Amino acid sequence: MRLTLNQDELDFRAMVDAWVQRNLPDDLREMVRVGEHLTRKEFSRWCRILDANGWSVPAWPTEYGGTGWSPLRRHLFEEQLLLSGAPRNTAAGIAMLGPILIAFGTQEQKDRYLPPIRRGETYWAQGFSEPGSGSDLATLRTSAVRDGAHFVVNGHKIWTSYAQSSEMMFALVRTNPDAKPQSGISFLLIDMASPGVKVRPIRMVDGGTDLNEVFLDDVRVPVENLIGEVDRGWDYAKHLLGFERTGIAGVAATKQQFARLKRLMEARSVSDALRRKAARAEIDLLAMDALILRTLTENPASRPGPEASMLKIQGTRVRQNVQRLLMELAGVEGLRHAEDPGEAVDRDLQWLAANYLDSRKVSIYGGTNEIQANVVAKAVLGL
Amino acid sequence: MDFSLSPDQILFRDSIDRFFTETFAGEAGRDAASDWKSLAEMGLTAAPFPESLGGTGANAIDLMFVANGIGRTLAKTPFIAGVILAGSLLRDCAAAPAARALIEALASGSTRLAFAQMHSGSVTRAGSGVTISGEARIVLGGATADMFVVASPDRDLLIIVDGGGPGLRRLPFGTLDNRDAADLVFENVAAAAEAIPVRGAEARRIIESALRAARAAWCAEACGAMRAALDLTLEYARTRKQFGRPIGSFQALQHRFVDMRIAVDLSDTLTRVATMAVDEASPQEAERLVAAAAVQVAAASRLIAEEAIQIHGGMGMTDECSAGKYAKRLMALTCLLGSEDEALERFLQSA
Repeated sequence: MRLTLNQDELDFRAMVDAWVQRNLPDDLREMVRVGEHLTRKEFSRWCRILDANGWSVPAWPTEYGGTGWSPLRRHLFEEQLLLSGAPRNTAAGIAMLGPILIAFGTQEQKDRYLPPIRRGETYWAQGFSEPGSGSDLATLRTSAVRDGAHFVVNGHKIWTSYAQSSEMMFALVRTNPDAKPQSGISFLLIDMASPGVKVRPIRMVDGGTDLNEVFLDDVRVPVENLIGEVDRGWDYAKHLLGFERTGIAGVAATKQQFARLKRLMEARSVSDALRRKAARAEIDLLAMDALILRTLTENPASRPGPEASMLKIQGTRVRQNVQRLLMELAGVEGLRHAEDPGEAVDRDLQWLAANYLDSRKVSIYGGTNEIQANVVAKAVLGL
Repeated sequence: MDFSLSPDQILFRDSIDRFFTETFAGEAGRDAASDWKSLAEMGLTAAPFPESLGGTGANAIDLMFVANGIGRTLAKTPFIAGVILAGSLLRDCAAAPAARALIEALASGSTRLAFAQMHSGSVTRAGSGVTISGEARIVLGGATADMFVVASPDRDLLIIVDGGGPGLRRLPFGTLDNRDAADLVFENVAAAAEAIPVRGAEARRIIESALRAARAAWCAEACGAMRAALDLTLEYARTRKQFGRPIGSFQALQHRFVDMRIAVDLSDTLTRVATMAVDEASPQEAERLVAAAAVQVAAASRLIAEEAIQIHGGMGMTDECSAGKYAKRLMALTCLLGSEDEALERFLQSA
């Protein structure tokens, strides 16, 4: 048991921080500082900068450009990037498709798709949810029917992040309508330039348009774009659930936002009531941070488990609370709207309302907190 | 930060768990004297002292496992106040012969100690010694202690007082969670200079440090009690049937159980952080982290206590049901830690 990081870990963080200070472009830093909306353009740009230093895909195996760091070291790295003011680097290609390809893809698929993801050249959309299949994802109905050397895909995906600017989409599709829901699903890679793919952006409550509907109308997908075996896609997707058991709590992003709250509080006169609420939030964050580090260090050999769902539930609560406090701090300045920012005298506050609204998603995506609670009740508590 | 336990720590923890299960589970009929004898035989009354003072040199993490065991088994022993708090006070002024002698008596189990903070009255100079007049309220273990370590009202003196000496009146009472305590009334109690092991700013520093160690241990006691109360309530929900199925199958209850489990895990984790800080961090940082743990533990204790009763239904309201016993222990510990608001104030002050 040790309260603080050891010297090696402290040196590592200092090294990462110094690197970010040298390599993060000023315009990106400013966008992150004020909470401005980032798009694929900025994310890919930052990914390329990281890649030039061998840091864009730290969790991947070293043969595909990963770092070989322990989960604890990766955690420290990802946290330090954000604390140093950098954007996140959690594109779906890096965080989701990469691990699946590495675990279940053919050598040819890995060689073809992994390097351009690592270099920030190709962007991937995740095609899982459908209008009728959200929490109950296994009921998804987008169909893929084998026709010679192709699958013919028909259906309708929704909440597809960055589909309008992605070259590719990985999707769950139904290949066997007669099997049990989970057993008839396959994992396909779909070229977004294929005939029959139509993308319609969805305007979100914060004014953002990252999410889309994707309509698939007789889209022909080569059979070599199937991952693993047909009808086994659900198992492959589940592989992701425990992959980054600690990242899902989003503690690094919350720390970044809490630092922003403290910075803004210092520059303004704020009520004692807000100060007390911020102190309470700080304790929640301390506890959450310690719980993540406990998960990483108490028994480093243990496999990811359903306990990760508790980290997600609590992590998103803490995150949303900090965003709520930022909104309280804004007071009447909260009236500013990111969609029509104008030429504000003080750019610090103009994105707070949009950031607050956007933060409501974290308890919804990646499995709603209610679904996570169901998982914990069953698999952890034995109810 | 590293939460892994060394093989030695795991051995110690497991032996402490066994000890509490065998000695204290089903606590009916035990008395303070036999509890103390068991603790001394286990070496625990010597725990906070270094080997050079005849102790076993336990660190704060070791003591945390002991406190977990007290909470889990609802042991009534005032170990935290009598050994961790009073013992830390003596250890930190062990250069004084009176403190040293008392350490030996405490470690061997022959003497039971209690810490008494005076709330009113005064300590006046009398020759080379002092005369004490006033009150010390809510002295844990005060009904059965042989000796008292008394802090003057403004904490500038620590005074060792014989429990049977002239002028000292005890008003014993049973606490909310059925443990022994007393109010003390001092009427011109005389103490020689040798009975004052430390004075002034140093006394205040030592008292604050010992109270921090005690607060961290009370947090750990609460964590042990919360975990046990949660397990008990989960077991009830798995077996109690209504509408033809276990009540634990209802989603409305399941989600509340998940919140309880999260609250306990956060409390336990932050308590570990605070406990490490007691040993490793600066006084100010330790104060901040112990206060943070107390906030978290106080909030979680209330949640677990209330939910344990609610989910046990009418049974939870009865005196024989363990849910209520755990609820009372958790309420008592929250009183000791200061409410969530009080602890938050300490956190703000030390930030």
